[in-house]
Amino acid sequence: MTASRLWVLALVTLCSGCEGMLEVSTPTTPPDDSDWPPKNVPSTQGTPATPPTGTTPPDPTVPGPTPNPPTMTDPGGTTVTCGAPPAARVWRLSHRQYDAAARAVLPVTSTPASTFEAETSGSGFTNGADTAYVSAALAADYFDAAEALAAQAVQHLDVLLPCTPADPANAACVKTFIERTGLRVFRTPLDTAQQARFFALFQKGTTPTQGVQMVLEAMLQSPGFLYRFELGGPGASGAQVPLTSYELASALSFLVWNAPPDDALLAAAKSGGLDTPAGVDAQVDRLVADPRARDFLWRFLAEDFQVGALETTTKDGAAFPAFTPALVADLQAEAHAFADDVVWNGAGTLSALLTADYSMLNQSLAGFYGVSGVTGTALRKVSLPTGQRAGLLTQGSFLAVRGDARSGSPVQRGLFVRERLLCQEMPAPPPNVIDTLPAPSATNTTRGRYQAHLSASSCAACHRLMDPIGFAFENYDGIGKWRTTENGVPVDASGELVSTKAINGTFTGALALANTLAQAREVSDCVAVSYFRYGLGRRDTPADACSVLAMKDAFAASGGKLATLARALVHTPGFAIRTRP
Amino acid sequence: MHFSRRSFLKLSTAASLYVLPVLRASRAYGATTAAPKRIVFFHTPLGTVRDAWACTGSETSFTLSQILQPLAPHKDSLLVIDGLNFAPVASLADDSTGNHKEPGSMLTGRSCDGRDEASKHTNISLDQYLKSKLPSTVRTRSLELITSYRNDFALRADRSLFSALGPNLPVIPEADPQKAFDRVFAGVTSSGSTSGPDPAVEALRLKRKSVLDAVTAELQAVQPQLTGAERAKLDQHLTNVRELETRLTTAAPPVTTSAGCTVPGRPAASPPYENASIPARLQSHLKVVANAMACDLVRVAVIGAENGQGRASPGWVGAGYDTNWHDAFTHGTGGHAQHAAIHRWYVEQFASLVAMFKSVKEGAGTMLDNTALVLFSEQGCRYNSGTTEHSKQNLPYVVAGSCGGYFKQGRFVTLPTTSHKDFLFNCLHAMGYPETSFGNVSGTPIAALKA
Repeated sequence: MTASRLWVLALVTLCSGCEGMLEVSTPTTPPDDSDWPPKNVPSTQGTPATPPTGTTPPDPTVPGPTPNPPTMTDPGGTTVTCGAPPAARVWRLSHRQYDAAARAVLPVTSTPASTFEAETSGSGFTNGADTAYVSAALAADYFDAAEALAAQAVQHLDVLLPCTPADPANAACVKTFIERTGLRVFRTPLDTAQQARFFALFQKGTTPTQGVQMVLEAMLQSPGFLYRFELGGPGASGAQVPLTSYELASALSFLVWNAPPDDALLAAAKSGGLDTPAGVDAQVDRLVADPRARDFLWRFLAEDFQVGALETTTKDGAAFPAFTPALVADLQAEAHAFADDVVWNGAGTLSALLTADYSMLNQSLAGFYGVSGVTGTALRKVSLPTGQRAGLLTQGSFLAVRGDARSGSPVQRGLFVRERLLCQEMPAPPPNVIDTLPAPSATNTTRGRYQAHLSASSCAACHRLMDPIGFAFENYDGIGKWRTTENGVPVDASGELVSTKAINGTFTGALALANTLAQAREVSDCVAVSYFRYGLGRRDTPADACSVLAMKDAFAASGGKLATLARALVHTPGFAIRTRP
Repeated sequence: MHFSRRSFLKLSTAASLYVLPVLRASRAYGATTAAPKRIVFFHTPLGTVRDAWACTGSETSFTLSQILQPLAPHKDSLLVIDGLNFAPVASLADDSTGNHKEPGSMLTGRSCDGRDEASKHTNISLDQYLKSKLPSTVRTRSLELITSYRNDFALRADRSLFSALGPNLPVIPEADPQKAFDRVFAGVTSSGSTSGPDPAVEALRLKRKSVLDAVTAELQAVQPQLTGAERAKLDQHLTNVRELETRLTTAAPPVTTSAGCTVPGRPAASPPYENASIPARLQSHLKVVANAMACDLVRVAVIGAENGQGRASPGWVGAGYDTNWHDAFTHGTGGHAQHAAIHRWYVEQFASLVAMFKSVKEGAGTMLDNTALVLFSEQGCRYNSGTTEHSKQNLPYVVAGSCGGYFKQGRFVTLPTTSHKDFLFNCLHAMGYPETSFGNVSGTPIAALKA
């Protein structure tokens, strides 16, 4: 037998793994969240929690984790075992959060993080906690930024110093400044050692103003500013402890705003306002109602739907001369404005995001979509051509990112649906795969070319899970322009969903596919899981089983309202409890 | 170690000019002074086309292939290696690592964790291990450069991460040519000498030392609360702050150099993800590496000639190439000729690096004699005659230079199926560290590659 034939056999074996890839989980009863923090501590393993200490005075009204059933049961009777709460950790601020935090706590306007060392995406999103650390290059970036920001800030001593006149030579005034600014920069009160440390640093300045500047430089490079702490109070190894109230305040504000707590949230942390479910809910609702909530949710959607990648998507200039930087900028702006409008002005649901019959267009985009009567560069709400476009999956941003350089890509588009909307992870392409896909030419069609994947059994085992979904997008070319024929051949946009939980079947066109997806519980569940991962900067593990189920149920119960995802995540067991290392 | 240019410029403006005296003690390496050994890993994405890549002939009498022709002037210094396979693939059929995580495995010798992303390394990479072994008198020690990197919303950027300090500690390569230059040469000139103690400079140093001492104390206060991977992150942070403090607050010792040491001009600014200027950024990076090594400021470098994805549009190769070449030329039944031509273009750039190293006299020979310039890809071979892709076999490796007599020269070595991980041990030994493991990977050098 020749080597290549051995390969084919090997591939058939490998891709048969595609058959068993269905995610197994079903709706469950939401956890009882009448206690705070919500918890999932198995009664047999629970370790009495140590109340939060450190900078937060122990508060007898904070309930420690009490024994709780270690399982959750879904309506079908399937029992899921809840694991231990996540491990204590530190989470370095994203660059976006760094800029937001600096602007929020100091009288500065610059955004130095835009030139910081690039970030990684270790957990599938750019904000993954696992691989976020402070490299040599980033330490130098932080150093430069701290000097620049502190120099700006001390131009506004009247704002910085809590006394009148704002005299940096007034030691008492500076001590109060260290205490108050330290609280805002570190998002938790300084302990006495820190207060002494920063005052001693102040005294080393050659002038009082320089002393203030040095204090700010050091604070901006300190772990208290650069990391979000999720340690909980002290406890023995393996102990399950609630986040301190200040840690919780940061967790809430960065989750909803991508920015640090404001004064009201810090005050709530201090006063015990976060010690009850009602208090936490009130703060979450307040944060979500603030315009600052738009940023984090858009970042999530841009990454989850991968439309943010448009900026670095490259196309063949000869095949798609229309794919100019100006079009890219317009398409990105459209996706952002559309998502914002759906979430905050419109129905607010995942379903609407996938099926809304309008978008936000300017004159250029209207030309791209074949809509008349729109003039000017400003985006505005415009109805889309009936039967051609509806929802984010039919916008140029998504379609261009999920297209090849010279054509559309049924594989990439179908793979997106399979992985990001159905949460089924495809095996990576096997090594030495035999690819018989013909190149695009003037005499073939995209669909015709990709049929090669389905006619070879070695390819079909996996590609039948992707390509027939992607075929639904055949009315759009590689950059998302509408077409009814390709190389003179009428477009065939019929497709099929297989290996789903409840939406197997055939359909024709992206709008029909989007409608099916929009109504599917498994798609709602998948987006909830993605938000869980983004919101926590990590992938879920088996120990998160109960949290993930709770997340899914809460999102579904909301009718798929995207703005409720934050509250759903806050309510998951384990959001506010950590296992001590 | 990253040297902050902005920080340095502030020092410069504080004093009239403060420079490190690179050439003050210019010295030739000779019989009594061994030249340092250096190693450069030069990556090209997406493998190659077997029919245009493979050399013909015997080990000692061979003909360079079409793709390797640009290296003909340096043939006597080459070791062309055939038969290296991607290490984590024990039997190729069981590879479930996909073709997207190899970049993060090429220099660590271990497969990455995570899915479809290369940032979750599971071992320290060889370049960083070597860096950790180098004497602190080597000022910058290592460079990690790339010509195109941008974190594009979690889509594929991680495939450009070759280096890591350890598990989950990726080293982000520098794509900005000015920042790359500054990492080595900020504060260094080839002709000046220190301007001597300056009160303003001394005051700035004292101020910075006080600030960074406070930062260090803050980090140390947090450290005991963490263990395991979380502690490792903080430890790394603390190490980097301390190195920064040393760099910024103490006068660096004079740099002793060989005669070939010159400081190039600071390169022009170039957006680190602009497609059209990839060739210019690559040439800039090569010059920085060659000059840095000639001045013994750096001994280890990793250069990504493009990125880990092959999604540039290499219009500079010729008409018809201005397209996302991964999509256009590396999948399906066509594109072999273009794939080969693109790889050849990258080999031309590698050849220019070889020429730079040969142009620096060192002892009785050149800097190339004391260096291993390693050309490699994370993918293997496609065949004109077939349509295989995502190959993990026959990774295209070439070594130029013997690294002080370690590697065979002027040879075309065909190996039995061998793990690329073992080659990393050749590199380790060649650099003067005859060890049996680095990080959590063990191995032995491939005997057939040794002189």
